Amino acid sequence: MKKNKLVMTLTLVLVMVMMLSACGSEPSDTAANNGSSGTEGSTTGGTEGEAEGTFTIGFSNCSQDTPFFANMTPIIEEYGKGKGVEVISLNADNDVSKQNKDIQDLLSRGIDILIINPVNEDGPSAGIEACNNAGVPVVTVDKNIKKGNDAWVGRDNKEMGRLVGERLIELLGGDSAAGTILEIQGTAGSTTMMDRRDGFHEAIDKVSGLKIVQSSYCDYDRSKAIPATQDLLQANKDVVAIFGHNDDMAMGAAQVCKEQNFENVLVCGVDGLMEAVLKIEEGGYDCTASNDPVLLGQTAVDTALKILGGEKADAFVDAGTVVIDKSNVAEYADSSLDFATMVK
Amino acid sequence: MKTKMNVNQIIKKYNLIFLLVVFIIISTILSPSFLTLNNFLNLLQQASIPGIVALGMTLVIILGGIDLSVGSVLAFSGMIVSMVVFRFQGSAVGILAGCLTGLVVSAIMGLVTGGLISYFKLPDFIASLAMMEIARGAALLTTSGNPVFNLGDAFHVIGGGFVFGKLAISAIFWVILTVILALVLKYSIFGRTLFAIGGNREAARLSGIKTKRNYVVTYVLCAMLSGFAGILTASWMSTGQPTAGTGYELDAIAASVIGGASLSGGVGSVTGTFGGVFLLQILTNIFNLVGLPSYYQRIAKGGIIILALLLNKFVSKSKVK
Amino acid sequence: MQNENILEMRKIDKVFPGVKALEQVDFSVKRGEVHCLIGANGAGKSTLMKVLSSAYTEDGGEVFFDGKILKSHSTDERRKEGIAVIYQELSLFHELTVGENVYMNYYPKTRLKCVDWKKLFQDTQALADSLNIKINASSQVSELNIGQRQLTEIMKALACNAKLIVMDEPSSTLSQSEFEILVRVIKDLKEKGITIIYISHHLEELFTVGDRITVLRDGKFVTCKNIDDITEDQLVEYMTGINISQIQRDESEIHEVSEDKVLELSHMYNHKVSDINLSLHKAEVVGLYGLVGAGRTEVLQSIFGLAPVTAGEIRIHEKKVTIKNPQDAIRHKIGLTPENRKTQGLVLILPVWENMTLVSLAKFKAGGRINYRKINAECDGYKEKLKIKTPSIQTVTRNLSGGNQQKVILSKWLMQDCDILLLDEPTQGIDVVAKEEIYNLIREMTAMGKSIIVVSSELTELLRICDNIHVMYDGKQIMSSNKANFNQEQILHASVIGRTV
Repeated sequence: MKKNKLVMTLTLVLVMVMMLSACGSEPSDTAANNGSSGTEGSTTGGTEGEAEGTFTIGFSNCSQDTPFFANMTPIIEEYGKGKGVEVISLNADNDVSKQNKDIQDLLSRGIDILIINPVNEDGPSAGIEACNNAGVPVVTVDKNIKKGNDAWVGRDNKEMGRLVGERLIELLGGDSAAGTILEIQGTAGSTTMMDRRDGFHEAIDKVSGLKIVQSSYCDYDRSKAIPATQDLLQANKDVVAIFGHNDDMAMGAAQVCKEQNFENVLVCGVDGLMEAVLKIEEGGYDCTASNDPVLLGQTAVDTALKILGGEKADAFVDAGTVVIDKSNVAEYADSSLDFATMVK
Repeated sequence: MKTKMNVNQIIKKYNLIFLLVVFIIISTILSPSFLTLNNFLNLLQQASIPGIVALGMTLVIILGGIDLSVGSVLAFSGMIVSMVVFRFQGSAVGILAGCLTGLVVSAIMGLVTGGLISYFKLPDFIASLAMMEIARGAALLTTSGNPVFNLGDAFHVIGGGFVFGKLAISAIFWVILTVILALVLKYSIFGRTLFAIGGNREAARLSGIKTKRNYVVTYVLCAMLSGFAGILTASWMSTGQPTAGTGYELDAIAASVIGGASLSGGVGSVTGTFGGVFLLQILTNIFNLVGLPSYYQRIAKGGIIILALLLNKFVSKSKVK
Repeated sequence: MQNENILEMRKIDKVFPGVKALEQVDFSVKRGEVHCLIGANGAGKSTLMKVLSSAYTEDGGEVFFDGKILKSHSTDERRKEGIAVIYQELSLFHELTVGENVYMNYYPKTRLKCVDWKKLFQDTQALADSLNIKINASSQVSELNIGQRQLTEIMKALACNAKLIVMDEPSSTLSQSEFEILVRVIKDLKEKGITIIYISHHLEELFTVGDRITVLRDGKFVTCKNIDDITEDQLVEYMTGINISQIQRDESEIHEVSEDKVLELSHMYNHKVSDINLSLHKAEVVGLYGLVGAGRTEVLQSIFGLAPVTAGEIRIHEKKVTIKNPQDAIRHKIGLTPENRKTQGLVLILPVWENMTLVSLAKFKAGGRINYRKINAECDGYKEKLKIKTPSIQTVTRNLSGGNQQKVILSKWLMQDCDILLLDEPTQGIDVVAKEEIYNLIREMTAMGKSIIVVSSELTELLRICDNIHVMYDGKQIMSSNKANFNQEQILHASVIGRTV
């Protein structure tokens, strides 16, 4: 008798936990873009009027675990809906084998074209091959794959790193600037990270008085960036600026600077994260290069539609970037968004 | 007047202090920035959150169990708290409600894990592993993987605030919790029963100890400590991050064992775990100060943990013969 | 020129920190005899045998085997010389077959240096057959019963041509029929000219198998006699230095049992026993006797809340009670010392004081915290009173001998001030000296007004200490007997055939 009661109680508790977390996914709870929350496997139907010959786009996202990636899914779904196509999206949780399975799933659901943000550039080769064999075109977005795709919609991360570096040099006083710059690094082995780093270094190397000290890999994780920044500030004298491979980490560095009274240290990053943009406005953050997921997602869908319409797309479609600093922040600050957007 | 500990435990404890001193000396030699007040205060702050998680883990290990879900519970609790705080726009009411909800939710998770292991006799490794997955999934589900920003300055104080200029509030929490738990383990009946249950569950049961109930209570405590660590994390980062706390369970186990706990149960010390956490944090700290590349950091950390444990064994064996 | 003595250990010393385990011990064994070695726990028997097998190195003295002095101190070398030791905790691999165990590390090899499995099993079977024991060489050890495993160990010793086999407490886990097989095997070995050193607590056995007997006490040699020249009582006196017969005379007096019924089982059934009726009066000692599996432990389990009562009643002080778990039992002032000390009665890694206070910890709480000074005082008190041999109450309980561990368990319940004590095989595996001390304790406890139920497989023990004995068979109570008319034969008979005659 007692055991039955216990079973009931525990089941009830488990159900409560499930319900609680389900409650949480209501749109108004988070600062998500445009009020939609993307959940795995959602389908958005096309509008009534254009029922015949509706295309279906399959979107295989690499993960949901940073705001950037998490935002891409709803952006693509919304935009696709607006253009009259069906979008089926899946998320691979940073797991290459899952991404391959996701692609197979999408193929068996009859997609006409695949948009994919690969987990890494070698990874989903089996899935891509299957697409090639089925005659389904492939468009990569954000990160590229080695072969098998018809177009790549991305950003020149190297350019972003370089632009930020050049703006930083200006803010530091031009060619006579001198001092140490801390570089808070992202995830090891990621091409995005390497491009941003190389671009940044290219710019900074032009000024002889500036020296770069690199941190350990902080995996774009603010909770790793903060201790790393604390320790590097401890170990290095004469720090004039901090550059984070993304804004999330750089924001952590900015927090440390404030706490430890390093008020004069400039902080910059990449991504155009709204939290950082607002901080540029407020003071305490200095510049960032936008990495607008909205424009990226929309461009990806446009490119996909172009291919579906029979045209050939460019091998690389640059979704563009812009450096945001104090001088132009007013155009981009918008607390209802997650990222600064170039779409007006 | 305190009871003398048995010889083996004394040696192990002093062992840890010996190790810490060695580490500090080596670190000082390797980097002049190490032995400064500022760095030490940084260390305290950095170690406090994993430290609080490790406290809970030590309790469970003494009991003879294990809880692999601590990192995920930390994340889930952090997300719940962040969502509530955000909804109430960072106000005091929101903070209070958020923290309470976070703690309650973690307690429930601990209840489920402990109940499954103790009343339904599921193996602790598997049950807590399953909870680890469930909690992590739940954390990601809350906001579809999106972090929650804009939690307000008031909330930030709990985990990221300082007193007396540079002493982190989270570090104060860590120290206070360690002291409280040490007292509980030594001077409360509940605390002593953990050692008995961990040492021989059947004998404890036959001596009238409420083993099933105490099992569940311990898992609840562990989960609540992780939940509290989740509140501190969200507060410190000013972000509710669904991926927070990943890998914390392994560090918590390592710290507990370095601190003298035995995975077969019946042995352990929260003050030892305090030292263990500190030791592990010094490692990361000195690697950063010296600029050791990331991959080497992980290899070195693993190697040094092994060395620390071997040294422990070697010293205690040679002294008691 | 063959020496009459196959083994001579001369003036052996062995010292551990703080303890002289062996002091100038002389021990000689004649070729081809069965030589018994006895002594209380801590007397030095195991230590002496470990010196013989080279598990320990002696601090002084010499070991002569087969006429030559043994210089090498490797256990492997000693094995090759022909000295084999079978320890109490058998060292067999349960997942391997009998043959693999017997020839472990000494496998017969084929020309290609691979293990010759055919020969291995053939030889093993031959060994088994030559000893007339029914064991299949290719059975897995886990399928064998305890007796067969014991015999496998003996085959192991024979397989490497042992000249001298030491058996340490071989019978403690054997049934009567298995013991008889062992006796026959020993006789066969003797006929083959193999010498045997036999160590056991069960003094009656020594008279069955032994030729001569050596007694150790407190690490020193006491005496060596022919088995025919000595009686059991004399042996006990040599071992303990105490005059037993006087005590036994005191015990045989029948004393009055009070009218006060503290515990009564009325038509009690549980998953193993049926229709149990017994009463326990204040200051009475009731014994439960029977074969293994008769259900005696299960009766105690129901009283202690470990086995649900399916029918019938348990009454305490004439009032019906329901005992669902140990906490309930403890609340009714009942305590249980379980059959298996180490796995059920103690938390071995904890110190003595902690095991003593396991049940009664609450009474040491003052002002919200545990008062350690009070604990130390009370535990030291019990250590004195019960004569528990331990360096201190901080010592880890695992390091105590069996008898002292049992005393710790008893103190645990005394500290809780229990009125009813259930003792399940309280003197199993305990040396003679400690046994006497426990019987004494039982007497003292009844003098304090406590009531005791004892389950034991040693009828002689029950006959000494009990006021009433109930005999059980296959879950049923088949006979009850009062001290005034104890008839050993009758009780024994009933326990075996399952009914009274």
